[in-house]
Amino acid sequence: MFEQNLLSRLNVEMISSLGGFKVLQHKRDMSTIQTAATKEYFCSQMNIQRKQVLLELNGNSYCVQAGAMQWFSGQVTMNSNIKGVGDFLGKALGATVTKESAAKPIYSGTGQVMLEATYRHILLTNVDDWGGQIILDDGLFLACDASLQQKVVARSNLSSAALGKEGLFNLSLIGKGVVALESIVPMDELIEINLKDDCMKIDGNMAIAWSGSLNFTVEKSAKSLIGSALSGEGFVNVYRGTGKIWMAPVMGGSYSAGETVATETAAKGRTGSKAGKISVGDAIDAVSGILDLFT
Amino acid sequence: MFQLNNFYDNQNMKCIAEMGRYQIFEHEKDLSVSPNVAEMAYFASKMNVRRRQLLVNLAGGGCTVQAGAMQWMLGNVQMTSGVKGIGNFLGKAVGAAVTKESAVKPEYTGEGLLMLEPTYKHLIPVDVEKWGSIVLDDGLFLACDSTLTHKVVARSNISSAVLGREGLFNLSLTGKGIAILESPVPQAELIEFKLQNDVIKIDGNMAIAWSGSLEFTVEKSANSLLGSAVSGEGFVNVYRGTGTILMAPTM
Repeated sequence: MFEQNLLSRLNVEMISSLGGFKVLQHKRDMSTIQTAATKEYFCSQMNIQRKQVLLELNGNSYCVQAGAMQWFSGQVTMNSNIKGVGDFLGKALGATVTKESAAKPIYSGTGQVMLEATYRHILLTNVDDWGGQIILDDGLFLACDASLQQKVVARSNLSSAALGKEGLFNLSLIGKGVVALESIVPMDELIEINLKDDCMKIDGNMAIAWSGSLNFTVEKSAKSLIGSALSGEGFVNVYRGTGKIWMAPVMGGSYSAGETVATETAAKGRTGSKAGKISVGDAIDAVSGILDLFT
Repeated sequence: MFQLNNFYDNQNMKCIAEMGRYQIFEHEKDLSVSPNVAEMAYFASKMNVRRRQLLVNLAGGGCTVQAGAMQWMLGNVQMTSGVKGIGNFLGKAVGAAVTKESAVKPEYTGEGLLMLEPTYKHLIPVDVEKWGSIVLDDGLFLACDSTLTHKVVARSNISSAVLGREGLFNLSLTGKGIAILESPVPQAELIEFKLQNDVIKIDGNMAIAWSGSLEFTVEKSANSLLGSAVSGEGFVNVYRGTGTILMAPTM
């Protein structure tokens, strides 16, 4: 048995929860010093608060972005989720192309797992609401129910990757379960679009997540190539069919949180489209994970 | 079929103005600020520095937009460049160069919604029918109904262009429809003059839009050249006749 006084503290509040996921927010930085007070004050005024995800384990298991764990208590075990060298290489490849960590450790048992604090915003969503498959923008993944199946999906055509600035591969999650996303914009700045046999065209990579059922292509904005060039729009990202899209229309603005330094993310910069690529640390983690399996 | 969530009911996104099928949305506060820019973003939000976006419902007909201003389009929406051939393009390019507008203003048609890129400038809807014909200051145009005719108008005399610092050519919109202006000053800082066979003289290029019916010249402020020089005003922009003028005195 263990106890923790986190939720009874005045400065911490639970801002959302879904399934076994709880998002805790530290209202104010209580341990500031004189020289940092101005910055901390404006941070508290501008909705910049540290958030943490608390995972409740009740015999189930969660898959977490590597390096994102802060503490876990109770009868919780962690395994690296790597089944062999071949499996690791496959995962490393998938990770490189989606800018995620290669090995996403799995925590299972009975107890609690707390993830690292982040200034980014935590979005909880049920994959079932996305028609059973959600495709994520690079570096968005933080944690999910281990029951969800992870798959790296390639673009339906090359043009969509090269011209859509979305990368050639994306991580997709399939099945029933909850996923926690670490986003630079909060839910309030996201627009949710539900398409039913219709079409959405976006100028830029503002979609952060979309249903696997949607057909994503990159197309010329006008019918003729010269028309597209002259209109100043060039190519647009087109989502066709039935499904859901989350779009961040104000992303990349001059004061956007997208410029956060890597250490501000829960996954220590291993997520986030700017952080990119798997680090040596990831590889060492994973290799030691493999060695654990053999010993 | 499409459905938008967290849009019309978004607490942080308010529809601040509406005219016909045009809606102007304002993002009340930047909610995704990083610690490094928190102070700047705080004061920006206190000083009315906000991002604004224009939403157009295309069900009411085509919409002509400044090039590159589209952010997203939802539904069965097509874009045409509005260029009919090389000769047509060259003509438009010349017109664009002199009015500092984009050469090609794409036209969006279909059933659905069109959202334009966010801007920190202020969006001002104008009913062109009330103006008859509206002459716009350089670079003010953002979007308008495709029913409106675009014309590049030259100054009635060279003096008005050279001395009035307003440029030799201006974009004018004529017809029945709505235009949206992207202005550096908000509507609250604009003075609207209505002239009825009268005259207004302005020292500087503070008029951002005026009726095509007005006669625009640049004149000496006093009757004599010497009087103009000693008064410290020199030349003034003179609008004569009947019509409306939008002036930004604090620009």
